[in-house]
Amino acid sequence: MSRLLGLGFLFFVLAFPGLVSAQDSGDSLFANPDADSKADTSQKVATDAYTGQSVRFFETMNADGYVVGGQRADSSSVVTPADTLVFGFGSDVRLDRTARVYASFYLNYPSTSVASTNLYSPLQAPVQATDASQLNFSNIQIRELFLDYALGNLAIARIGRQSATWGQGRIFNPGNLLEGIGDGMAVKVSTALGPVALTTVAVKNDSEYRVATANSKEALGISSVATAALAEYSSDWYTVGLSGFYHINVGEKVDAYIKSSFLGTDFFLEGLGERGTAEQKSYTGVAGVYREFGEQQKWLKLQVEWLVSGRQNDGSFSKVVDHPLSFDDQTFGLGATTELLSEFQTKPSILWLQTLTDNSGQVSFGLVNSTLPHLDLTLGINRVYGEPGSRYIANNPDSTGRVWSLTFKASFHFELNN
Amino acid sequence: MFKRTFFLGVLLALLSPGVWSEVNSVAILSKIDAQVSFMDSDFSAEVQLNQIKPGEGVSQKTVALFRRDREQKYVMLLLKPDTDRGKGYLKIGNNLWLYETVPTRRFTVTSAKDRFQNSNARNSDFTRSTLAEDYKIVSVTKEKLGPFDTTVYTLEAIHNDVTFPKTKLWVTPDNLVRKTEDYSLSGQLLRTTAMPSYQEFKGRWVPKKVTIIDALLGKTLNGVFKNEVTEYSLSKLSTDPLPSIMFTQSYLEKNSQ
Repeated sequence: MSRLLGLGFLFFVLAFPGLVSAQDSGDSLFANPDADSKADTSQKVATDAYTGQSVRFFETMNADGYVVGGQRADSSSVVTPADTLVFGFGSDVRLDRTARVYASFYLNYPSTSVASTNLYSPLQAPVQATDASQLNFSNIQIRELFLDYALGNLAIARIGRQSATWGQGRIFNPGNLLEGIGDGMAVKVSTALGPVALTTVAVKNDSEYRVATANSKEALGISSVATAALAEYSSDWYTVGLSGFYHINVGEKVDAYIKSSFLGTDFFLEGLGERGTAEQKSYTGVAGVYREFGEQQKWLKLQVEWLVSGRQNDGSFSKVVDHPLSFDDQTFGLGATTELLSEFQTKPSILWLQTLTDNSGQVSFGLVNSTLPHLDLTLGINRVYGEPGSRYIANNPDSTGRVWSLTFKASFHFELNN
Repeated sequence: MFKRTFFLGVLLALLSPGVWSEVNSVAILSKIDAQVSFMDSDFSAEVQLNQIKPGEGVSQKTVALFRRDREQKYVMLLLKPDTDRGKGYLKIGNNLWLYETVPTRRFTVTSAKDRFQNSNARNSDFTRSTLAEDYKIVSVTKEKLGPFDTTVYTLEAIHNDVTFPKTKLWVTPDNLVRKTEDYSLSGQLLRTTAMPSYQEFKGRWVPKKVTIIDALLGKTLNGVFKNEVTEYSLSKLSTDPLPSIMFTQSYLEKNSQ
């Protein structure tokens, strides 16, 4: 009898699959719902839910192998096989809600640092080993080593070697006034003044801000310290920010931005004014939009940015600009990616940068596949174009100076947390 | 004379069907919003989130949720799994930040419409209910939903900054939403959400368990299409005051890995 019932059920399942998967409409969840009741108030979520006592040790390893080739601006072909191996380790100790110590170290092969990958540029610029026959590891380097200390509920301080990025641009980011923070020691204090979030930073960086005179006393003293501050306010519909930077040798910088989101699109507008110690002045503006298309699956994620800058190709100050068209650098950037191939664990992306003042630029196409565990396979095509001496030819983002290249990269990575 | 004509005009305008239904929409939806919003205190809870992908098993996450509804703010911190611990979101008004540690430590603006941690829930699911500010009622019917007598409201968005342009609500007489269906602009069903039972807390109501059935994502197993489902439940509820510094980017930064 039970066998007959089972066969009958099987027939029902095969004949009316839609009825069996009736949960699709959600109505089956109302067949016998729990009665509404009083909440259990015996437990509360802790505000320090993740700041209680914990110790975490981690190890990471990234092994990248490149097969690259291409042509340089002087028409000579180059083949630049390159390998990098990065072994990282560290610890994250959280004593209580007041204090935390974080340390991250790494060993690099070769010792030259590798540019990090970002959304629009999966093609990392390959690094050419100085002596490929010898496996030379650099010394242990500190990536981050800092103490977090909460001053009650008033402020949070981070002291030590740390990284942080300010600025709104994803393609061009002139508003990152903290460029020198990663190589120095810094004290960063953040607090909330009513609706305004305020962050102040003091960075001591002997290599970035060293005094160029023979006065060694001064070089090791206060003159290698830069200061910066950022205030941000968010209303329901927009966020505005004002930041400033000062260093005795670099000069002053003031940056302001506004960002908002409407009609399903994120917008930002940012302006930066700089004054050097010799009274040189420069102004930079960047505007950008970001939009995702598609309801469930995003078939296009698009970022467009426009940069106008009074700085010259080599980054130095230019003359004071008196007309928008006289800006030395006007660059358009477009980055795009899609989720259409996510089922195949594949992410294509494209980045196009075009300098309008001298018609030089760069186009990069990348295809990253992550089907195999712990392994990313990347195919990249990169093209740098322009007249000799133009911005992108003179400051080629490819460290080997190639104007076109085809790159295949296999990147093995894992992270182990205790 | 002018005043009298003016007031008569206003009266007629108010009595015209379009304006009357708009006013009525706001009144009805405000009552629904009020049942689940904590406007006079902060609100905290722990969220247990299970994502069920057909043929791929269940992935579980635990999230600490801190809300300040009166200022339209929330902070969400992932507590589990350990690899995601400390990742967080901060929402102030319509601005939503996600703190990234790779490749560089920076905040990125993300969309409240996005899926939360690749689940079928959206970031906007965890904010306070703002139906009255976002939608208008375009039709009303009565329907039986399990043991519940419900009023079914069909809503259309009144601006573009909503996650779903059209939605249907099954509402019981106590103004609690028991089920929703969310649609695209073209009328395609995108997901169904069920909240069969609620827990009463400090004069407000919090769903015991929310089940989100994704209408588009899923897999055919043995000839049957199985939808992706995300379930989450809220526990450890609290209305204790939260420090203002929790609703800042620095708080997320401090907690991140």
